[in-house]
Amino acid sequence: MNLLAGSRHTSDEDLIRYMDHQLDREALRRTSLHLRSCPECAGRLEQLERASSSVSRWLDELPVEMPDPNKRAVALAAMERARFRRSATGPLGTAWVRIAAGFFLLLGLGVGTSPGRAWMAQAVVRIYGGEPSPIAARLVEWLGEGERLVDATPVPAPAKAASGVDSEGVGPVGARADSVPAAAPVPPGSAPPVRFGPAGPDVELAFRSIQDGGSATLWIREVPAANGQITSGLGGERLVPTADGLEVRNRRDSRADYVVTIPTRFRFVRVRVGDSPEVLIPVSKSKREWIWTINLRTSALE
Amino acid sequence: MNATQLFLQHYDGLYRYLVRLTGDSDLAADAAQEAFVRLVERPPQDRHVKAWLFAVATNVVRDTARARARWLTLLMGSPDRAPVGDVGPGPEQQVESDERIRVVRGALDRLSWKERTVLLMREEGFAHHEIADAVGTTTGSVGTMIARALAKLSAELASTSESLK
Repeated sequence: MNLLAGSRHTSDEDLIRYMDHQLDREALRRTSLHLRSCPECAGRLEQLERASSSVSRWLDELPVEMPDPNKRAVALAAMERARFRRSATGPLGTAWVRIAAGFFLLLGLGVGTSPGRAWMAQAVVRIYGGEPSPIAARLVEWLGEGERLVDATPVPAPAKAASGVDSEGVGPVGARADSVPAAAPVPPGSAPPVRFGPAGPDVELAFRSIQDGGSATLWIREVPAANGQITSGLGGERLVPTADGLEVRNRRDSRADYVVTIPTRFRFVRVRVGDSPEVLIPVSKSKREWIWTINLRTSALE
Repeated sequence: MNATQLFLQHYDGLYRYLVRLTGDSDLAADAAQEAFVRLVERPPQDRHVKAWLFAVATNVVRDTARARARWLTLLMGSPDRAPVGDVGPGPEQQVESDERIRVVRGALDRLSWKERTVLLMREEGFAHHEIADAVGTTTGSVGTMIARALAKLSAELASTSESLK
């Protein structure tokens, strides 16, 4: 049987396509026309059709066995296991899921824990240095680490001792200040320290008002829940509650010691001496040094 | 349509094709299973699922056959030893039928791998471009391979048919 045709006639390949309905419309029209006018190609087509149906009949002799039910069940189970694995890892695969999980875990640890917040705030402060942008400052404050902005700013240097200053140390602070760590002796009349100490849900700020002249006003601002007392050396000074905190009015001869209690949730207070720029004082209990220095010898002294 | 529905719809046809292709019911079952596992692991994006399944299973069989080349060479070189599926020796009246089955199996095994694949996939009703994808050839050469396979098979089986009569 010669099924391979010459090039002038329709090839066996095209005849097979014609039989299997695989020709496009134009080729089908052309082949149909040719088969009507070419007995040789029509004969070869008939031969191919006979061979095809003969082979189909012979192939039907092969037993059409049903698959073993056990093998079928095993195959279905294997496919279901593969589908479960895929649904567990997702279409993007295990690696991306793990990366995403790790990222959110780190983010959760960073925002949800105190050390994490401190680390993130420290990173922001390091990046921006002493002059953080408003967004960075807000981010640090949102993290509850606003004092780091203060830490990053230069601390006013203690002034040298001035002449005519009371050289005596101040008396002990009141009973509520017992928990306040003892501060180092302060050069009289220079820079009275503010000591911080934990007191339950509050923080105590103990400070001295040693001045060499004029008067000073300490605004402990934005702590309307604060309260305070003068523990010693009362000389007419007053703690005056205001709308935005406590106001301490000193005179030239003030020697009073104060203890101010503010809630722990306030991370810092703003203190202003006279007309000098405000100073941010951190109140964080996590500070290692519970001492902050306020320079009362400023140009604002009258 | 989910994977389970596809399995129920296509498993039997795929298994039958693979048994005809290989003459080995165990190999056919393994290849069919592997094709469905790959279906859920790496589903085809833009191809007809049935054609994809048959192409994958055909490749699995071909790769397995390469790994067992020596074994298959022995079988293909001796049609008398070729497996005939799960059909065992039948009663006396089945002898002739078994002989015909063995002859067909042998004639099929003497075709080349591609010729056998294109012929059997054509019997399953696949389009030529789908057959071409499965065997890794061009659509145009599928018709040529089918014509050649038909010629070989029909010639051999016609002579055998005469002798059986």
